[in-house]
Amino acid sequence: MPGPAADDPELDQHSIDPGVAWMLRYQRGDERAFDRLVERYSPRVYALLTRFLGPAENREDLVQEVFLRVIRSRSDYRPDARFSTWLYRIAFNLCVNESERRRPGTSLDERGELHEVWRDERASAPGAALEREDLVASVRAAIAALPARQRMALVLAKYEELPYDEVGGVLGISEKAVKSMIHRAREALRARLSPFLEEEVA
Amino acid sequence: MNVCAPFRAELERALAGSADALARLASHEHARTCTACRAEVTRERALDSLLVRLSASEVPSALARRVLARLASERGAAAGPVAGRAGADDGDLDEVLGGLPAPRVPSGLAARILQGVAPAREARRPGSVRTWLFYAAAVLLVALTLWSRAGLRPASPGVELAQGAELEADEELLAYAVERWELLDDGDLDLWLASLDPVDELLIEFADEASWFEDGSGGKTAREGD
Repeated sequence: MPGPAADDPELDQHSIDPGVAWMLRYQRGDERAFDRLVERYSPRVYALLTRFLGPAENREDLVQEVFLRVIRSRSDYRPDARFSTWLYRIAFNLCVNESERRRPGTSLDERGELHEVWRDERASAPGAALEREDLVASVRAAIAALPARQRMALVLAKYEELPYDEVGGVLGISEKAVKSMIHRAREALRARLSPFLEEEVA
Repeated sequence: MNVCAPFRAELERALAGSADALARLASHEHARTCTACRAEVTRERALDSLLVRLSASEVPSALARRVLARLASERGAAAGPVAGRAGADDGDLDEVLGGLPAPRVPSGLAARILQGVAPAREARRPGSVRTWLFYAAAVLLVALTLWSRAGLRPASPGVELAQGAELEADEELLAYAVERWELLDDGDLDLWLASLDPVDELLIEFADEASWFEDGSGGKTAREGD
């Protein structure tokens, strides 16, 4: 398949963001463009879900659900932002729904689910890696305990390396609000991870 | 954030950037001389070093392929351009037909269809000119649509129908229609609908109008499933 904007001047303006060009082509009936979208973005969505929800077993189902919503929303799609912004917005809504489905009103950590994950990780880790797994599980639990918007803002900015204005586009808030949100998130993480931080600083 | 006011903006910029930006800030002139600000940068870097432990998120192999496979049926139902937009790849008729799934054609269907259209063909007799013209016009409309999509000739159904000419082509078109109806009557209707083309929509509408089928199979079934 040629590039997303090949032989199509109308799409050429979106060549800087192939996701937009492919989505527009899919909107026009080009099924191969949807293949490209899934190939390029499904790993990113999977990583995003992993960092937001933890190592849940149904992550692949959720990736599928994200792209299912892409299919169903394609007639409404407008190229007014980066494609990843639109896609991550879908993923975020799904993440919030999934969190609420698991246990309304409580975080994963409160429910002990992450402790189960932590035990699973420890059980499967070789002896030398136990300490590291302990740390990873603690960081994951600390992130999971953040409110949903703070958590997603942190994940998008820190791991997906999205600029604050794009994070704001995903969450539907201003860049200033994103900055404030991430500041609060980091404050909370520092409090929760203080024992590990002392070791890191030392 | 217990940092000096002039340094706060620098720190915020670094936090919004990469881990390298925070590392570079540690060697900032102010950070080297101000204990509080240096400590703050150190704490933020320590937090980053913890957060980065989650960076290696392992994506399962062949994830995209599995997701695409699982979405196949949903994609099929939504296939084709959305309303108000032209198709990205019109292609020719062969390409369109080539994309259809292999049909499982019920035995004797073609014979039933031909039997069903027999009255229309019989209506070509001079005594039933109006009926004959109705079917001829409809057949010609579909034929012209097919040909125009295949790029064989320009679409000008109004002129052709007014002249009532080129009716000899209806045998060929009928054969094509039979082939399409065989596909339509295929057991795997969902698959067929998934690859539905506007040309086939025309055939469905035409056949429904013409009441070709006495037993109500084919087009009516398709409409219920659509």
